Amino acid sequence: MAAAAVPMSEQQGEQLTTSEVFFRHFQQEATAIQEEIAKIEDFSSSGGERADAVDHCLAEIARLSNEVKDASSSIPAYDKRTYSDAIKGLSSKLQDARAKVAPRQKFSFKSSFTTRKNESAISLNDATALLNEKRLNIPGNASDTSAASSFVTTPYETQSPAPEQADAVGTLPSVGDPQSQMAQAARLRMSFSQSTSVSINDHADQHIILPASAAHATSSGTLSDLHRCVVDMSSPTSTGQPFATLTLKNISQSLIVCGHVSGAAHLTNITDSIIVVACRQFRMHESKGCKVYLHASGRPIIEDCSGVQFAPLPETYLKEADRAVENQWREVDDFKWLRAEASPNWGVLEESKRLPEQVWRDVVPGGPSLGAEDVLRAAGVLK
Amino acid sequence: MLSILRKARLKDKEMRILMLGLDNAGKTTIVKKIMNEDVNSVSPTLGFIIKTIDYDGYKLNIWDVGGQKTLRTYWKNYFEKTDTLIWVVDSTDRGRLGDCRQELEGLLLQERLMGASLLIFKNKSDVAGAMTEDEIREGLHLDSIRTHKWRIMTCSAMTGENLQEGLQWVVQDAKDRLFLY
Repeated sequence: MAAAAVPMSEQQGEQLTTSEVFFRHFQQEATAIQEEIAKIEDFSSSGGERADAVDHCLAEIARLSNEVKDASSSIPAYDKRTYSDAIKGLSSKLQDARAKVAPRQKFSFKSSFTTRKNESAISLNDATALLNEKRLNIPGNASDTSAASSFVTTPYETQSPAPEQADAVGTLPSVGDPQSQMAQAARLRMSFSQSTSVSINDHADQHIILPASAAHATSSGTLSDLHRCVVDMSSPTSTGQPFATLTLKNISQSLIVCGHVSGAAHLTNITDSIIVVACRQFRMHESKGCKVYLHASGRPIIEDCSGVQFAPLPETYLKEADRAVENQWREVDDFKWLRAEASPNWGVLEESKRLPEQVWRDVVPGGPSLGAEDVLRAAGVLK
Repeated sequence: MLSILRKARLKDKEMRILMLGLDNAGKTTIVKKIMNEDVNSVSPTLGFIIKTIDYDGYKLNIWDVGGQKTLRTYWKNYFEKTDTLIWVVDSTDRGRLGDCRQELEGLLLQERLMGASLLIFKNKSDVAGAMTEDEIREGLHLDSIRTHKWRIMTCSAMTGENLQEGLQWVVQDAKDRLFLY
C-alpha cells in the first residue's frame, strides 16, 4: 500500500494541479476501502451480511480502478503505476480478508480454473457416484468409508515410503475425519479424471506427494499459498511426462521438489524455502532466503530477490537425459544487478552446506514416523 | 510526416516489428523458432535481440525486447518507427492475464505506437489446458481496442504452429496499408 502510506503533501494554500487533486481523492477512497475491508471480519456470516460487505468492497475497488482509468490522461505514467499497484494491493487485501473468514479449503487437486470448461474432468458429484459404484462392486463390502478408502487409497502412514508406489497424494486427516469422505472424493477425482493440470493451493503443515498416476495431469502446474509444507512432484514428472510449465507463488518455509519442467519454472514470492527443480528456464521473482537445487538448460534469472543460494540438482532426481544437457545452474543473471561485479543477491551454496543425497533419498519422501515438520527440520528449513 | 516515412520504408520493403509481452511469454523462443534455431537453450532476455528475416520479399527487422518488470520501463525506447507490434501472451498463465492486459493497454496509449498494427500471439497453445482465443480476447479486452488494427492468432513456439501465418498477416497488413495512404 505504498500510495496510501505516502504522507499528503501540505499545499493547502496553493493551487493544486489536477493530478494532485486526484492523488488526494484516491488516497481518501483507498483509505475508506481499506477500513471497510478491515471490518469484514466483524460482520456475521449468517444472513449474507458478510457476503454483502465483500461485494461492496469489490464494487468500490472496481469503481476506484475505473476512476484511475478515466483520469489516466491527466496523470503521469509513474503515478499510474503507483495507483494500479495500490488497487492491486487493495484487491489482494480483500482476498486475504475473504480467505480468513471463509471456511478452510480442503486439500484437492483440480484442473485449475478450467474445471468448468474441461469436459473430461469428472465433477465432485460424479466422483462420489463413482465411489459408490465401486463400493457396490466389491462383494461383501460394508458401506463405510474405510472400505472405500482402501480401494481408492490408503492413508499415507500405512504405506511404503517409496513415492513410485504411493497412491495417496499426501498425509490426510485420519479416515474417521468427517471431512475425509470429501477428501477421498477429491482424490478420487484426481486419479480418475483426465484433468490436464495440477493445482495445489492454500495449505499449511502438509506433506503432499503427487502420485506417479498423476502423470497425465502434469501439462501445467500451479502451487500457491503454501506454508510449512513438503511437496514432492518428482515421481510423475520424471517417470512420466514433465510439466510443460510450472508456477510457484507465495510459498514460505517449505520444501518443494518440483520434478521436471520442460518449459519454464516461474517463481514469485518464495521465502525461506528449499526449491528443487529441473527445467529449461528458471525465473525467480521477489523471493528471499531460498536454497535452489537446480538443473537448467538455459541461464537462470532472478529479479527483486535477495539471499538466494544455488546448488546443482541432487543425483537422486537426475535423469539420464539431464546428464546430456549442460547444467547452467550457476550462470545466474540478476535483473537488478546489471554490472560486472558479482550480484550480492545470490550466491553458490557451499558444498558442505548442501543436503546429502541420503536426505533426498530417505527423508524427503517421508514415512510412517516422518511428518512434514520432521522433514522440514531435517532439511534445515525449520530450526 | 511519420506515416510518410513509414510509407517510404514500406516501399523499400523493409519493416520494423516490435515484439513485446510479459516475461516468460515466449517472445525469444518464437523468434528462434522462426529463424530455425535451437529453442531449448533460450535464456530469459537481458536487454533486447534484433533479428532480420526475409519474408515474401520483405525484410522484417524483429526487435525482441525482454519482458521482465525491470525492463518494461525501457520498452518506450523501442517504439519509434514500429510498423507492427506483436504482443505475445502466455496462454497458460491465467494468474497474470490482468497484468498482461494492463501492460498492453498502456502500450496502446503511446503516441509513438499510433498507426502500428497489433498482432496478438496466443503462445504455448500446444500445452493442454491453455486458455482459448476467446478467453484471451475477453481477458485482454481486445474487442474494445479502437485505436489499432488488431488480430489474435493461436500459436506455439515449440511446434511452430501459425508462426509463418502470423508473419504472413504482418506483411499482408503492410501491403494493404501501402495502398491505403
